[in-house]
Amino acid sequence: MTMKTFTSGWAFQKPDQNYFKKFLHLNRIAIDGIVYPKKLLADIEGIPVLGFDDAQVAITSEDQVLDLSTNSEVRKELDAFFVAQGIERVSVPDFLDRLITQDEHDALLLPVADIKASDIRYLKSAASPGPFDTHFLDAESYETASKLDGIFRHSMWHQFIEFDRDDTPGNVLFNVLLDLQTRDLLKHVRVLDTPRVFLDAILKLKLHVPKATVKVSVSDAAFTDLHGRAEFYRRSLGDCIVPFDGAGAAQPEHTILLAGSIDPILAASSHSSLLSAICFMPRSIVDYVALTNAFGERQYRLLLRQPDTGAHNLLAAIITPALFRA
Amino acid sequence: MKDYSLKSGERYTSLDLNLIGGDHLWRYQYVATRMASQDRRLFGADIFCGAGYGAMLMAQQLDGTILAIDGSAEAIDIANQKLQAPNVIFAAKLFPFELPEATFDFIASLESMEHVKDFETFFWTLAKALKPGGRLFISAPNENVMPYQGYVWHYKHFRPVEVRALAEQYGLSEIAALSTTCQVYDGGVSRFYYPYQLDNNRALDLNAGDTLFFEFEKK
Repeated sequence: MTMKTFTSGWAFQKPDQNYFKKFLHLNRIAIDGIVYPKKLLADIEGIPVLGFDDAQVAITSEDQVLDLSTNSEVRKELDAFFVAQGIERVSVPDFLDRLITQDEHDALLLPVADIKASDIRYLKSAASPGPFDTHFLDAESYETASKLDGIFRHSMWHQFIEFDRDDTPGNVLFNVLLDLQTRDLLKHVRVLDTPRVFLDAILKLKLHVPKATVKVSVSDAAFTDLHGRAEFYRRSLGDCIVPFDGAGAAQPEHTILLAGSIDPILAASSHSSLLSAICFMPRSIVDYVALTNAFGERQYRLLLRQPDTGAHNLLAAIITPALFRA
Repeated sequence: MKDYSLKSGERYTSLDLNLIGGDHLWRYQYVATRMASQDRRLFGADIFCGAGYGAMLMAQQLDGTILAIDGSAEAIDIANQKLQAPNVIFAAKLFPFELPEATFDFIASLESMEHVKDFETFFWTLAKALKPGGRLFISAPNENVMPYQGYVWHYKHFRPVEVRALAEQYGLSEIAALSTTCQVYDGGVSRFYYPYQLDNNRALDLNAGDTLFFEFEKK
């Protein structure tokens, strides 16, 4: 007999379950029925709604029931029903945790691109970020790392909704640049890839701080990515564009690297002194762990900001002693 | 006049694509995908853009400039404050407004017509503003699936035949006719709003979903 999956109640009308819904969809996990005290509708999204009478017949001891009830009154009735039936329900985090633990060969597809079940199992074996870890630049950075660690370590994906702060990655990036500018630390930025988001933020910075003297280098590959819009950026940033020296060239210590992922930052740090950088961490806390592992005991401070509920939008600013020696 | 304010309850106020209904995302993504095949810089419009998430989605994927108009000044203020996109020009303006004739390569006007009392002049305005060969992407509640019952924000829902008649009248030919869903149904009729579904980020047959969606081409 094939195990079926039912839900006790329904909470999918809320956006905090969006990651779990994406997970179900990616892995083609079907819900066979929604148990409610009464059958108010025939189905929701094509999934049959089962009143208690129907549920008594449909659910066997071989099946699993996910606890998805949010309404306290309905929950009481559901609790009483399942206790009377002797059927144990499993929470969504426990359900996910079990699947991640049992996964082999990374067959399970997780709802954040490029994060695999093996990444989560590795995360669970590593120490959680601590409030006294010396690399955090401020309390918000620790709180962000700690929250993300908990979300991924314990499959509490619904907690991503707590990052819904009506902000955007571009605006948070702008604020990070503005903060560095205010501290006179923004002298030269080097755009390695994903140029639009960085150049747009720099354009906004120049609008807000006309006296900013930041110099901007853009790699040839990044300019190519701009297609027909490259000339717009060349002209708009004309007075602050400086040539982009090759990857092997020594960079001034006050250079800040800008990239859409940690990969070019890790590559640059492996063959030269640690340069400051601002980058996105598309693999969220997994990238954070990779970066802190790679940097080891080297001196740096890390600023982390999660602009919205998009896990891939985690933004990091890596500040190194070199920036202050310039 | 209907309530066109940002937080009337009718709009997505978020700019976070993870918090936008899958049907809304599908429509904007469809426009971006269709127009990405054009081998030239594009001038597009997003008419009734809300706080701008859709205009931003298209602007990030297309090589061109987008004029994004909404009736809520608050929505446009947020777009200008939070979205940095030199290739999107946000403007606050209630309809009626005039658009330049034969100017746009494409116009996306999604979930829009139902909010305009003089929907025929609105449709004429959009059609007239397209270049020959330009595309109009338009969506509205389907009267056949979601019958109008005095919705507080809407003047009217549309049957596909009505939208096709408008297109024919104003020189547009039909490229695609699809639908999406953001409702739970009972007996084939919409029962209640349900935006965050397991699987509504996709197209359905024209009369299967609560929201009809057409792609037209200017003759």
